[in-house]
Amino acid sequence: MKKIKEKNKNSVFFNVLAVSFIVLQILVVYLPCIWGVLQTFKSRTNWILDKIGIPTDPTLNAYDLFFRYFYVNVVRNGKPVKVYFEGAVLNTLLYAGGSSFLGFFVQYITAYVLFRFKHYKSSPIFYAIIVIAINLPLAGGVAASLKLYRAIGFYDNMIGMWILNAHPLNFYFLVLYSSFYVVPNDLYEAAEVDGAGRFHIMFKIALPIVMPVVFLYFLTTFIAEWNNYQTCLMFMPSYPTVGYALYKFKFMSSPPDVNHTTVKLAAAYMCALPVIILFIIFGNKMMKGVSVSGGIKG
Amino acid sequence: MHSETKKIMTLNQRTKGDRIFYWGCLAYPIIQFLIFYLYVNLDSFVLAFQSMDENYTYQFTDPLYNFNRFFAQFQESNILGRGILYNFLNYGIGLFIGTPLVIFMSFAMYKKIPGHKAFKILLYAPTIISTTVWVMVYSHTVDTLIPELAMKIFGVEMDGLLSNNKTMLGVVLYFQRWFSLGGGTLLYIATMEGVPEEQVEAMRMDGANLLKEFFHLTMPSVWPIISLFLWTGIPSIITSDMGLYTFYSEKAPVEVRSFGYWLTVIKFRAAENQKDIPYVAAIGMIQSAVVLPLMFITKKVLSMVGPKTEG
Repeated sequence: MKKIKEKNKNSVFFNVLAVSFIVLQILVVYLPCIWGVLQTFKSRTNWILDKIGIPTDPTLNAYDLFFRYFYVNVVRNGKPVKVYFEGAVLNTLLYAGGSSFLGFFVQYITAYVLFRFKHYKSSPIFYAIIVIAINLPLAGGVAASLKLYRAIGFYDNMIGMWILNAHPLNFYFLVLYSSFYVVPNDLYEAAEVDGAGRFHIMFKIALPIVMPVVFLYFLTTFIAEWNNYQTCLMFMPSYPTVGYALYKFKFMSSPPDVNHTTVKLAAAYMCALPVIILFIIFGNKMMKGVSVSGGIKG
Repeated sequence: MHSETKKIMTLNQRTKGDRIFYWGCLAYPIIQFLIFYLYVNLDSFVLAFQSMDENYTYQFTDPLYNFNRFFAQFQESNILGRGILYNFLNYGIGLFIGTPLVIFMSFAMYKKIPGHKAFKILLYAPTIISTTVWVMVYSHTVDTLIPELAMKIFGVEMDGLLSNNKTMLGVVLYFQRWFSLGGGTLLYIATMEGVPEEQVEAMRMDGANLLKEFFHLTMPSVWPIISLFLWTGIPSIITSDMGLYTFYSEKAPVEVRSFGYWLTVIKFRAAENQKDIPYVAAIGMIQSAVVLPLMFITKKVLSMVGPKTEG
């Protein structure tokens, strides 16, 4: 046994090579971030004199300028509106929160019903259609979507965007569907004997069992939508989200004090902060979930 | 007899109730699918043959106009052809450098190298941060920090790497790969952990070293994921803007423009100027015509060439 354990140990060469490579990868990603954070605490003069070192006289000036000048000019209902960071956060919470919730709701119900009634003739057909639609990239959709959304009033409309995002054509539909295999059939039957209704079984009995997948879905979708700027820029131009506002801020011509590395970096970090906090709180659960839902057994 | 009839009636009622529940729950997803997937895609097919007149109505005046426009643009400018080349280069780097590195890191963490738990977190964490944030940090690093360091350490004066025509493509390609390396590791590790411990031990007892274990046990287990990533990644050969829209908005230098970037710019313009919507639909159709067969061929080839598990 001891011999096998000895054999199973990695060689020193492998360990050194792997650790060195991974540490290098981590340093390449994190060192610029640390450097960037330090720069945000420099005054403009301090930064001009020294672009590498630590701040000599730390100041929050960059963050102050960020809160004053981080905005997007939009036209809403024919009127020009300035949307500041707080407004962008609110838009993002509404957009990402609404899209994640409704997306989950539709995917959960569809997955549950198709799984529970998989003996119906139409059920496997619907399942196959969903799988094909998920895997089939039909690239012309953007143009026709733009035309349709304008025609039905969904263009530049928050509720319209929620409805658009509430569909089961998503990888998590497949994860949710598979997760129902762990719910024993006896549980449904026992609940039915006890007189539980169909909705009660769907939400009070099956849902808590697949909750880890649901939680992961919420978190990853929320973060993805928080970071997404292209969809909002294209379909919801007068409701700038945080990602959209940051993108605009990156290219905005501002006064020289604002159009400056320290302020631009402060903006980037402020926009990433909520996601970082979410990761600090739920990171472990999230990583476990990604592993569990993503692992394909060999 | 009476109780039997009642039982059958209850069963019938339940079956009927189940059917109402089933179709009631599926009504919205079906309508959503019919409108926002099926209709949208069918309409995009129709749109490709239309153009918009002065009154903002779609007409079939010259059905091939959008296709001719695209091919003319393609022939006139060598930027688009070169852009496709850049997209292929980006995909190739991902395939031949990115994927092996991700698998190597995943294998190392699966074999529990010292610090593997911390590495997992540190490699995964950056993937949750938005590309815009990374682009901003990275741009300032390569355009400010690196030239400053070069000056301070080596006394060499150099331009920002993103502003220099000679280095910008390399810098963008590097960004694409290096910052996405950590993302896939969790999936690969989870799959590698699916290999039964007894199989690993048996192989080790037979005298196999890490390399043999990797090629004969680990690789066959992760092959389905590699294969999935490769064939589902095929559309990105054409559509990926390589992060250029985030780096440069609509002002990317011609030296670095990928085909996907050009496509992204056209899409954003169509969102503002509706006249280009049919043109975007036509490009989408050409794109699907190229990408779909390529995807199926790749999938087929990968299923034939994949490594097989021992034993």
